[in-house]
Amino acid sequence: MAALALALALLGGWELYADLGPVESYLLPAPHQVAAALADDRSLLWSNFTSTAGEIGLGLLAALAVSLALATAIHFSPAVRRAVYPLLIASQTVPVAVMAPLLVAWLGFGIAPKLVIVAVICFFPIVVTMLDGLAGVDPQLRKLMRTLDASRWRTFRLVEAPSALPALFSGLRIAVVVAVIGAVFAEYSGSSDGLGHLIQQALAQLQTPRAWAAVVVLAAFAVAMFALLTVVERRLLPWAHRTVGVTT
Amino acid sequence: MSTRLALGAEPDLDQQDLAAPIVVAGVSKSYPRRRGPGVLALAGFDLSVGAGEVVAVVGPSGCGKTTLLELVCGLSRPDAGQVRAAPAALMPQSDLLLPWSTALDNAALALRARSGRLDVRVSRAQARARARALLEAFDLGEFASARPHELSGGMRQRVAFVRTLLAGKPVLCLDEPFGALDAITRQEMQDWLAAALMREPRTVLLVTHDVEEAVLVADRVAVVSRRPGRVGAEIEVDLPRPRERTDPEVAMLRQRTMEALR
Repeated sequence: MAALALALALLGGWELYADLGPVESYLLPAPHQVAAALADDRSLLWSNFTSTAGEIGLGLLAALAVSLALATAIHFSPAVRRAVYPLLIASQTVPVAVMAPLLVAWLGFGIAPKLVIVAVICFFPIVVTMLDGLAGVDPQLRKLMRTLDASRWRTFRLVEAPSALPALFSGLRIAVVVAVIGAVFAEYSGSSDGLGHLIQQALAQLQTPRAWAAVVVLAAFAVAMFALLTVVERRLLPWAHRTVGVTT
Repeated sequence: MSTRLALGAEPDLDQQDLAAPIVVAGVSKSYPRRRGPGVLALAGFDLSVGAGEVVAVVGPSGCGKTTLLELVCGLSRPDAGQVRAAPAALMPQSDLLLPWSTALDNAALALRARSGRLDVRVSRAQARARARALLEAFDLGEFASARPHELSGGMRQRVAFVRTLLAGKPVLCLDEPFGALDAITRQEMQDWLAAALMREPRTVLLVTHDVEEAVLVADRVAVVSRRPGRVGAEIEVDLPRPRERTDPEVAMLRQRTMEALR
């Protein structure tokens, strides 16, 4: 209810400012123009959305696979941690604008460079939260596993990995949102379809309402993915949302 | 029964019972602090526990009781002196049950953890079958599929105790197992533990600050001094079981232990 009221208030303010304010409508379209573009361009938006969603989905899966492997390797080996962790952080500071043309030169205009960009942006939050989750296991529990003769790997498999799942989901929730930004930038750097490509074209042709309609679709997609992850987590890990350790 | 030897400076094992499952002789252990000198947790600590004996260690907070258990469980090594102990399973104060697993799987963890080590292969089904049998032996069968949050604190400690038994170690190290429970549940659990040990006799080192618990459960009570910890007095509890907390002899021994603590 409060969410709806806030959204309506923001939209109302935007509408008034766009209609009555000093800004030209080709710079800032009013919500009703954006809504009209959403309706008129729906098939155009949908076909571009499917390619962007594909890039985001596959990029996220690639990021997840790389993150799980990296987090496990870093968790097990202090040497890998010292060697790789600084590089991971450094990788996040390379601007997409610098990386993208190179990837396009290497991998062409197809989906491959987009997947790489989305994956490079997304794996970082997943690795960092996953490592925190793995390290956050109660030291007493690790001691208990040692007295039960558990190997390092058994402790990981039976205790540490399950404990880190809630952290993994937190990382994934951050990742889906930055994945959307990554996909748009990737498409900016050379593509023939996708919502990022559509935004770029629409802005060049001063079709601002269409660009904003594409933004609305992207935002709705990010919110939906975020909500879906939250629901899945509550289903899969109900124990993570209870207060634990309360003795009665 | 395999043994573990941690050789320190002064070997005075010959004064102790060599066949005993737990021999702690002249042990000192300190912990480094970030600033200043380390904390000396134990100094010149001697204790031996015979096969099948239940020894309670009581003492004020911070007398190195937990340090003692970590040494006996092989989780750390003494700075000086010797610790010789048969393989020991630890039962911590907080039950440490895995919140995502059922009571059955939490008990079975003791068997599954070991799988793959020492040429032991235990399938999940085998581990569950053995865990279920033991839970049922302790009348916990109906809780097998409950998750920890659905169990009361006392029930969780019972499951944790079954897990400790399933580790299959000759020695049990119980670290204030009922310290976090309310008074009534704690009394229930003390009687339950005494009965459980009659059914499944083990060599037990029970660390507690509840003197009554010590007298009700143990064959012998070792009273440990304030830090650095050392055994100040040992009190034999030569009473038949089951013991009643209202028994005047229990009350008298409790009183003696309290006086030794001061």
